[in-house]
Amino acid sequence: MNSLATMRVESLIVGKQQMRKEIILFVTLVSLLAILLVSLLVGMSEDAKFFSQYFVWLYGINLVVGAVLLLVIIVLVVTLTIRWRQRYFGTRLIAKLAMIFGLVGVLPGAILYSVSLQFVGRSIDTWFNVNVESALEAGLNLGRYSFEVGQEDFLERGLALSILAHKKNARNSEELSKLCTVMPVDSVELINQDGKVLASHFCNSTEPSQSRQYLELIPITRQIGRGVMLETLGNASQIESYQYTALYLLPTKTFLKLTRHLPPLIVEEAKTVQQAYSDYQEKTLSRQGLRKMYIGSLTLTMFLALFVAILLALILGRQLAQPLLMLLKGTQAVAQGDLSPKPEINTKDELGMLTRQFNNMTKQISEARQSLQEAKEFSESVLANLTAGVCVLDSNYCLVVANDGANRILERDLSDLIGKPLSFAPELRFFEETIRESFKSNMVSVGEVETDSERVHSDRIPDAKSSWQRQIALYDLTQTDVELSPLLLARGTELLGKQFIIVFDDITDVIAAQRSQAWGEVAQRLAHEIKNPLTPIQLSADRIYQKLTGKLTPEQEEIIFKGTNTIIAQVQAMKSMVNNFRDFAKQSKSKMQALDLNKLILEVMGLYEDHHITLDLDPKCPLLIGDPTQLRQVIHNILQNALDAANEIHSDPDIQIRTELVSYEGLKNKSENVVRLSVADNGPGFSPRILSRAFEPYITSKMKGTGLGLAVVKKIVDEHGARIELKNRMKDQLISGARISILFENLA
Amino acid sequence: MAEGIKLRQFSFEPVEKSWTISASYTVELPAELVEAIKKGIPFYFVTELQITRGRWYWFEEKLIQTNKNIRLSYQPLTQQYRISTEGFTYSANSISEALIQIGAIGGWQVADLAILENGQTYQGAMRMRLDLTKLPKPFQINALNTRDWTVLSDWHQFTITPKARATK
Repeated sequence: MNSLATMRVESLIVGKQQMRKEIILFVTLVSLLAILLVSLLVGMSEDAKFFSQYFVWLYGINLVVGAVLLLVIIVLVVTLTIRWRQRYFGTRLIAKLAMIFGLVGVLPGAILYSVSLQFVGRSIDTWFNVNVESALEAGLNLGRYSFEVGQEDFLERGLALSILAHKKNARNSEELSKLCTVMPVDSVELINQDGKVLASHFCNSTEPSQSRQYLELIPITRQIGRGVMLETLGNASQIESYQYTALYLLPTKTFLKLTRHLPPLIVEEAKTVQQAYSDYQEKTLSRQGLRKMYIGSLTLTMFLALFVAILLALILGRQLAQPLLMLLKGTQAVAQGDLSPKPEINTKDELGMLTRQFNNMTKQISEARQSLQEAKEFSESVLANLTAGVCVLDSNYCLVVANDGANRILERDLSDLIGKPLSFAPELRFFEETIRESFKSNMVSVGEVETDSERVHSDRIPDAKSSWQRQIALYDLTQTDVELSPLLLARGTELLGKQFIIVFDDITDVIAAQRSQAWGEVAQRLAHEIKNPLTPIQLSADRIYQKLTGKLTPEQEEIIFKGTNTIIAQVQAMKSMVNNFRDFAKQSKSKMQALDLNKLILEVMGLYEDHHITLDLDPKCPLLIGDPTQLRQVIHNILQNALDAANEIHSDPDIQIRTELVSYEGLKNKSENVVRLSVADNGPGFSPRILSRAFEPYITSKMKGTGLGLAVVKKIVDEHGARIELKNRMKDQLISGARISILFENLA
Repeated sequence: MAEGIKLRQFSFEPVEKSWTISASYTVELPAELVEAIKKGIPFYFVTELQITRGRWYWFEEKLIQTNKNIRLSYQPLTQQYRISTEGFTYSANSISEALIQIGAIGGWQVADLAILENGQTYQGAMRMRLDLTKLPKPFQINALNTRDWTVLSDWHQFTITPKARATK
């Protein structure tokens, strides 16, 4: 669930990044376009033809781009706001950074913009001046007036020439040429009523003008006899010169046309004045447009700058915030236990260092955790492989943890008791009570013990105040139905944090061994002490008999004989018993050699030919290392026991002797061989009380017997490094006999 | 105010070896523009003509596409209007006179006779408009913002089917 969500978030993030990349690309393109457009717009001031042609388009596109930029900014800001409202992770940081960068970009831009706006407005206004305008107007009027004066003057002077022309009746160009000398004119022409040129003469070698504007003069000339005009010569876009054209109606109903070019200097001056006037007027008219154009360019540039600033702010803000966000995500992941390495930022600055350090930290944490885990596993495996049982209980004596040793010793799997008191299992109630009592009494005594001298006498370990150690029985032996209980040596310690640890070991075997050893010592001492007076007793009895024989009455003799015989026989018996004891206790020296167990059994069988004994001998049994005499004794003892047991309830005992080669997988996967000898009978089996202590001397189920048989067997088996096991044979929940098995591990 | 450009007369006829257009427009300008002209700003009028033949399998085929440019300027010194088109220059003393001259298109030779085949039907369209792109820049911006400055005629659509003539 969690991982699914994480994955979705990641895919979302990836998607967002992709989208963001596209946005950045788009925005970059738009910005570039805008820069290009603005530079073109500004470049317009230089009157390039290409630009003029597409100026309107350019201006429109610029406006559109500006609108798009504004839209993008609005979208970005709105998105950021929405995310802010949704508390989207990391938005606050990005927004804050974006705001700071935006402010840094926008504020100077805004100041510059407002100043420029003012400046543009003012500077455009300063171009226009009433004085300049009136001066230009005056110049124009002056020119106009001088032209008018000039053309009137030309008309007046031409009148004389027209009269002369009429007098001379000039009709062709040759005659007209004579008129050139009268006054300075450029051309003299005769024109008919329709305006067609009848004859013409050009006084100067200057090019004749093809202008037909004089036609306009014909109506007025026809009315008042003369007319004059100023003709403008030149092509479509440029004025080349001006000329006076005068028309006179001759009495012959034809027109005389006189033209004269204005001096080039005046033409130039006039042109300049007109051009300046036109330019000025144009500028006056276009004032609004100009202002719009400059302000538009400025605004667009401002928008672009603003946009780029905000965009940079968003991108840079993101870039700055990204490592922090990554760190934040990383810490969240670490808090949730994910110690995998996080992506790093490959920059050489502090932020990159920060992410690298963070990864180092998580790596160290993970290593520390790993080593902790290993240490824990190690101690757990040590704990599990301890033969001693270890249980940790909490303050309410509920089980916290128990090892395999505890399971084995308490003869129960404790894993289902974790979190519950031990008494949850009825058989452990007594055990728990004992432990509680021990801890309680320990606590009390801890409170009492103050001085060192007292502490020495106390039963506890002096160094650990809260520890106790005592020997306890697992089951309550006072209960009638409990015959047998393992003995435990338990040590309890109160841990910090109100927990208790109990370490215990099954010392039943140890105690048995101690008992056996103690018994041996006693037996040896007793044998020695008893044996010494036996020989004098025997000799004394013998002597009494010999000395008194023949000196007494036959009846008395009879009594003496019987009495001394009894003494001697009993002493003899006592001697042999003491010898037995001594033999058991004595450290016998075994002579180890390779021997064939099967052969040994067959030898022993010679003595039991009249009994029903089934042999099942494995011929594959290898030779083993042992003392033949002692082993013979072992077989004897066991067989005797079996026969005795079987004879108790059967007239026809059934004894089985079996040897077999057993293979098992030992250390390093090497298969190892052992030889097992087992003797089974169909007797009554062992009672539980006997079963646990059968190998101790003087423990017997037989009516008569020293109880040394199995003790001797155990001793010999131990000396051979073999293992012995006693078991009841079960058949349908009923004891159907007993089986003794010996495992010989020392093979030749 | 009936501002704008309206077609009064139109003919598209073969004259000698060329297809020739004779047309007459009534050109009326808004006061603002007249004012601008009187301040000495040159105005440009353009007459656009195109003759196409419909093709069922593709876009129309453009056979003739031609423009006629007219420049109108005012000379404050001489207080005259100058109208120049294709090398010819006229002058007029008043704006209305000038506009009549601009509107009168006579003998505009647009194409050789051979370009249009006999018996075929062609579509033609013609209009006259104020060419704003040739105005000074600030005026163009004004023109963008104000509708007044957009002075143009509707497209005049016509069809023509040249007939074989037994001339010469």
